[in-house]
Amino acid sequence: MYKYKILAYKLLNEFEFINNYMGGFFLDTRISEITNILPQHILSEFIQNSITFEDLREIRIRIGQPVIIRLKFKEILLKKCIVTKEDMNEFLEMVTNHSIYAYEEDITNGFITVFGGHRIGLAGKVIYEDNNIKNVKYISFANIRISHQIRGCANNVFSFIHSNENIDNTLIISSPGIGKTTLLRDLIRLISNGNEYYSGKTVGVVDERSELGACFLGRPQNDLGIRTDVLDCCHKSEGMIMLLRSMTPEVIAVDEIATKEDIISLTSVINCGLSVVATAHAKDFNDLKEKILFKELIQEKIFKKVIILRKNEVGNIVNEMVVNE
Amino acid sequence: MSIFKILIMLVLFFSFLIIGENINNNRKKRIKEIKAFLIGIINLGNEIRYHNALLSEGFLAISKKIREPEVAEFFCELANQINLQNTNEFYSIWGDLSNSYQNILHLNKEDWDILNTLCINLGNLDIKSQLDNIDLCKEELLNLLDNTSKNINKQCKFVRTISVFCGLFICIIIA
Repeated sequence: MYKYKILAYKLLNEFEFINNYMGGFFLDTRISEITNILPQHILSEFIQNSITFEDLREIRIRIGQPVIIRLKFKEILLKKCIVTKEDMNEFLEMVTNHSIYAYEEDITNGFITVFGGHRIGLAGKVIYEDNNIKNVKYISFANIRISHQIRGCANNVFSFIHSNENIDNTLIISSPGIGKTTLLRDLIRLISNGNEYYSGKTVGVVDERSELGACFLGRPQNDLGIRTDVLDCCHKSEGMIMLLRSMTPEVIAVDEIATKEDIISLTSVINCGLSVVATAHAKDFNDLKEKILFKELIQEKIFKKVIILRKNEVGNIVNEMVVNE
Repeated sequence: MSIFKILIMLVLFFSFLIIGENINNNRKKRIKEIKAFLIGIINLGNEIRYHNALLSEGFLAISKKIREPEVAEFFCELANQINLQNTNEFYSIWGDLSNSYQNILHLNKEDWDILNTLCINLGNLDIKSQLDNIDLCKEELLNLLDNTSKNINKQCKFVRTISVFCGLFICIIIA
């Protein structure tokens, strides 16, 4: 039976419009972004579980182990589906579109971004050359992280970061995994598109780890708005200056400010009259003030607005907005 | 001698001439196709070197740069097959396609062998090794082209002479 299902998946991929026309009657279209890269052996098991894209969070593939699918609220273990070396090779062929050489740099960084903005983390034996990672061989572990853009999650902070028509320098902070990047992504979209109260602005995004735009073949897979230029896989410190020179943005957005070089570039960009929206790791505002890297920035009031994300008692994510005065 | 006999003699004579020309055309076509593949492979190397292009992008780009329609179509089809997210390895995609083009293209076993050797590792190596492989294949194709082009005129003349003589011989027998 599942052979027919596989055939149906492939046909639907070819004739996506039919599925869209029928309101996703057969399957939600975006799940094919994942099924297209799964090896045949895993795909047949995957389909049997009737998983929807909305629920899907992660797929873990490890040689010699069963496939683990992490959904929104539960985890599915495909006990019958033990991953073989051939499966992994097939998977890599699919993910790299039969051109593994073109992803050399991505592999050394540990991840590949595929169509749809999904990120595939890879692990194996690391090969060094002159103290630099040259390649990763015997890739035996893969983690498909499903990209879910949450449109509208920054609606309530959008007006907060504005002073009249201008955007204040804003820092989004939280502990890891709370959703800084997701919030920043939506904020970029809103700033770029504008709304009935605020006009859209040209945004330059330095996307060092391809997390904001999730670029695939140079095109952002996430909606970052109509006035956004993305510098993909570029170091933040260099990227900010490059964007400033080349794309004349009004706002620059960067994810995870973490080094001294980032701060130096950020300060020069701000001194040139541009607004910056960035994220950083910190538990709360006090924690941020204590960090050596940000101490001066906060004291000098370079960042006028700070958005703090945290989980409340129930586990929901709430944001606290602080004006740095 | 009846007119019918003369007609048959003429038909046979011209048939031999046409067969000879056909053989010559196929040889010339083969050289053109080897040239086209050579250009394609050089361009593929450039696409990989300069754009870090995926194989499918590379093949599609070179299909637009090649004048020989059959070879251009071959590369275009190859790019399509790769893009179809075929679960097979690249080499088997190449193998399937080259088998189906055996009758369309005029390449012989020696030519296919050179191309097949390149394609065994295409896509599986790092950029440097990939380019080295492409350079090696380029050299081999150049040598092949050199050797084939040197003798092509002599061979064509030989085939044409043989076809004329065969035609005349048959005519003499019939007469």
